[in-house]
Amino acid sequence: MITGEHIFMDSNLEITDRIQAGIIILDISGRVDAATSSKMEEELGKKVDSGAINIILNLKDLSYISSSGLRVILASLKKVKSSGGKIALVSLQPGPAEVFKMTGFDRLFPICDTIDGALELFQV
Amino acid sequence: MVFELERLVDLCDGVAVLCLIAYFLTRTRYASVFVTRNFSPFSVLFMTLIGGIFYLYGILTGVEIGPYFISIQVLGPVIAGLISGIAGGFLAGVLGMLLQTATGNPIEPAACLITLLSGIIGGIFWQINRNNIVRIPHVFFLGCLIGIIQFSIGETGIRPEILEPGEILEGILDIFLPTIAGLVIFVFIINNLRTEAENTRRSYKIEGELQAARQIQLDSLPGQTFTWKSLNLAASLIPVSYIGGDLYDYRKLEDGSLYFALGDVSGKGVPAALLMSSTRMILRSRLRETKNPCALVSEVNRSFLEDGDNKQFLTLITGHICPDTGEVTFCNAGHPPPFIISRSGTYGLEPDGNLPAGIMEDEEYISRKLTLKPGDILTIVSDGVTEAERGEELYGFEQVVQRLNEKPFFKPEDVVKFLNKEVRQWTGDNPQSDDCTILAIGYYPEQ
Repeated sequence: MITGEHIFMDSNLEITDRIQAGIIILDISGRVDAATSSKMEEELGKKVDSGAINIILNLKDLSYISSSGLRVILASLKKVKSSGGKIALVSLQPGPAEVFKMTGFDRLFPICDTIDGALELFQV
Repeated sequence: MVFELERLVDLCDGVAVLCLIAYFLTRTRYASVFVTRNFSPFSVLFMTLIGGIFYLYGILTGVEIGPYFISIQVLGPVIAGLISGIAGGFLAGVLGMLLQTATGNPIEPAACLITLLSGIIGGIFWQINRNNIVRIPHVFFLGCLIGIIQFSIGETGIRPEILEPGEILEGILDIFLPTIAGLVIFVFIINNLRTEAENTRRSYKIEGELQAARQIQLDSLPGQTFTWKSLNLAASLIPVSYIGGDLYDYRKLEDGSLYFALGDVSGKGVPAALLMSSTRMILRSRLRETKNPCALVSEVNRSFLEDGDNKQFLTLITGHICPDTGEVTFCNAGHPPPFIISRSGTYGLEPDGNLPAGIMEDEEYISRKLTLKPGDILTIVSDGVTEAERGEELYGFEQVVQRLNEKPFFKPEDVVKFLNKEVRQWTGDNPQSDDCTILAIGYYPEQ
């Protein structure tokens, strides 16, 4: 696996980024809650503002996401969607998966088991 | 030049006493006048007393340089003037000199003039700065001015023709350094107090406003228990902060059914609370036209998207229940699904796939119908319950079901009490992380 560059790290949330087949992949591990969501907003916002419209969020190590975290991902989704892009989620764990399902957010994002699967989505 | 460290130390003693006075002044109940600057005749007299006594202290601890007597006694009237105005400075000088005479220390006319002038100049600075904090550079300037006055007035002024050049420098050091240092430190301490008091006042004001807002918010909620026909309802809302973004509501409808709602605005505190109260009003006003839960949610959705900042959203369950049949129609917009506590056990409903309000325009919300059996309790909670945290561990939707299954519940009130207790026990010493809201409606038709 190609490991990316740490772009943000604290005891609760760690974000690294890398590019694979021309698509930005953000590996998000830890918790996205009221305390850390602003950091996530900043990092995700930077990618979107720099013109990225197709983004894969690798959530293999995401243990918890609160409604403020959903809000951040949603805001980015709205931006990339308006430019014809999309955000795909990969390896959603049971806890966060339940939150996505409960809030109907699972309808807003393609959810894939593997990064390769998500990459294929963007190749079409 | 003979630099006598000992002498400097003596004068530093004076400055230290000045700091002590400033400290005590700022800790007494009279200190509030430094903040409000509303000086009563009493507080002017108080400062006169302090200034006068300090003057005497200065006289008693002064030192002699050659033929001259140097001390920091003038700081007494200067400070009295600086704090309470011209009258205070002048009177402190007069009092100081009276005390001086009374203790058997003679006064020379020039020294008398210096003293009174110092007090008046201190007072003039107070006039100029009237409504502002006295700035340190101003005080520096004031110190220099007082030093120059001491230096140049009368026979006792330090005259180059009398003193050796080394002694002149020494005199300058002895007069200017303690005067400036004393004034700067004194004003610094007083300024600190003013800033601190100002901040405290502001935070009290904000806290008072928040406390009032909390009361308004809690008062705007309908009562925590309600019984009507065959329905018995209990509810609770515990905001994590003064005010919160959760809401519950219910009311009797004209067609004989009961409207209910429980919602959770994303985020916490004041911004969430503002959206919460407008949501409640939107729902209530739309309710006059329709009780269709999907129409109610759509209205909130529209309002969030049209008027919101596009960042906030709201998870909401709203619906109505018929007291005759136990039939419930509700729309769940992205909220943790309701639980049904029945005599045969508790189960959680499935999510309906609706998005929260405020996410997508033209979202087609779907509603769901179910019929409560006699004794069933429909229970809706906010994620403050399902996501109550112990360390990183969440209480969880499943645990709600599991714990509710462990004992029979006959009254909605017991369910609310039980769940609140569960959350408290689960979080333990951890601070509550989210607003915690519970609504339970039991159906008890006469049999």
